[in-house]
Amino acid sequence: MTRIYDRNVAEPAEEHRASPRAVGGVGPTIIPDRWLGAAMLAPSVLVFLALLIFPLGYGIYTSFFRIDTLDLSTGGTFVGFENYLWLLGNEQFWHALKTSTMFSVVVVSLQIVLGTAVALLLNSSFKGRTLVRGLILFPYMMPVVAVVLVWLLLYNAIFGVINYLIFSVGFIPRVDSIAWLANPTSAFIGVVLVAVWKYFPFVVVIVLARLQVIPQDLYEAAKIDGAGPISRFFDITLRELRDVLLVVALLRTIFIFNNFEIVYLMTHGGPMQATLTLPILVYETALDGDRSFGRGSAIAVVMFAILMCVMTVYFRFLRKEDQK
Amino acid sequence: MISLSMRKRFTSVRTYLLVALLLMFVGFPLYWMLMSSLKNSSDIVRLPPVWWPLPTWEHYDELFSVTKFGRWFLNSLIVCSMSTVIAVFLGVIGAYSLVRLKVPGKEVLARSVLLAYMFPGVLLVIPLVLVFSHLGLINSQFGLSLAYLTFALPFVMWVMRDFFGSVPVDLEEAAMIDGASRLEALRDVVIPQAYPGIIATSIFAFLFAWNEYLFSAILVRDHDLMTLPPAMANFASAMDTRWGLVMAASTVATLPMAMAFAFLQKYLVTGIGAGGVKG
Repeated sequence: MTRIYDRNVAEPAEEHRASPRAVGGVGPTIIPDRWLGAAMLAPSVLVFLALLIFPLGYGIYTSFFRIDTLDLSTGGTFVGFENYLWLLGNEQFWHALKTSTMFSVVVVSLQIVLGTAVALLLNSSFKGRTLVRGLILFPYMMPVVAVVLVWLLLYNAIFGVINYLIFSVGFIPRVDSIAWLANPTSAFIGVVLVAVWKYFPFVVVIVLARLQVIPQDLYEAAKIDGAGPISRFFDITLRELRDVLLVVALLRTIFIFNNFEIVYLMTHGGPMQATLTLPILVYETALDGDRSFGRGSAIAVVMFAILMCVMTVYFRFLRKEDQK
Repeated sequence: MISLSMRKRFTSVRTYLLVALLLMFVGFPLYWMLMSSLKNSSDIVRLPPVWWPLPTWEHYDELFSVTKFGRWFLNSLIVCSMSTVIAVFLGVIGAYSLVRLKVPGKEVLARSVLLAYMFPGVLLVIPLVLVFSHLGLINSQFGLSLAYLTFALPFVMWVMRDFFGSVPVDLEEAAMIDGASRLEALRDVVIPQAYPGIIATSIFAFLFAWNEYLFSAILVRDHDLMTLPPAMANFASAMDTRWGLVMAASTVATLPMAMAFAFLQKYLVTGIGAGGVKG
């Protein structure tokens, strides 16, 4: 790849350097080839249109039809707002909305607390810190299915390690006292724990990055003023972290609220619908069992509306940040 | 009176204790997965648990000789490689164009990339099933890799956009002043410079695809064309008590991740920071 211009990379001739500015009368990054720019973007735009925008529109369109596997070729029958009316009167939908909200709030709060605590720990100096920082990312990178399978084994009521440990400590009378995933309350707790375990490293990474840029003299100054470690934590660390925690909470809420895989693979929404979230309801309505694509789409559209509300808040926040 | 050095030592002991606790919390499930895959079937259900088994490879043997695990592994490789290659190629040139070239409406476009990236798969899956079934893309590995572009392409574009934005413009300018066309400058100057970033991004895009379950479960029903995640999920429910086999499968499915891990150390944090929205 030796080309003539490689040799001159280090010291471009002075008269050449001036020429693009003289011709275009603009800064160095702006080049007249706007057609090339468009051509380079076109394939990606096409993919977005075909695989995101069109399906999105088609999903909204479908929500006004009664359509199941049998009328796939005909496109179903137009029913207006029938699917939405069905939705509003459907107890399961409201239940799933509640479950999803509760699940997201609990999981995200725990993730933020645990993630921040771990980030603070990993921000203090100790031997092997870099290695530990890498190791704790493992859960985050592991395939969801593998994560779920391991935890199913750990939760096993008869020979699972979790029950064995609780039993050894003496909290339960018999090793098989807790049927983790068969009981509504413990199943909910169980799924929350797995979601926290898998996704808290994300919070650690983001918070740790922010912690590292907090100016140390803030702490020094506070120390001189006589602030103790607790007030330093609240007045400096937490205040500095506030914005980043807000963004992380928002992003994680969006993600967990729409997460299908963890909950579905662990419990299929059971037992007795204790872990039935909206994504699982979409799946069960449209893609499993009775395959009502129209009704499933209606639920998805409602979820999309919720998503857009949260995103609007997020973008408004970003814009405020940019202005700072 | 506690002296300063004693207090310091106390703090450091506390730190190490907490780190040990953290590593146990994070590491125990992984340890248990590996150990269970190496236990014989009776040790798996034994109580008290066998913490350190005499290793047996029988489950790995069975995994590759009796089940179609090798096939599914290969399918995953094919689908994820296809989507990664397409996403990286399109994403890199697209991101470059977004950063360096004057394209009308590129601010809107940049923002839609982020929006696209945050878009949850569960909202796309119904229309994709309907559209794909019209186009004959159900049960197609190419179709599945197209579906994976919905998250892989915005991810690559988003990360590479940041990356190109931080690379100084001088080198490529100099190349073009010396007579290289923009595309030549891109190929010979910009991309070689961006290699580390491109490789890290590719690995992340690959891993996200490797870990994906929903699209794969819905769009590919054929037993022989399945990728690992849905195959393993079926596997577990069909073989309720074959935990050794299931754990061996989980361990092997985690391997590419572990390998990428060793390789990626340096980039992990950047990649997750940019990509953590999904996944």
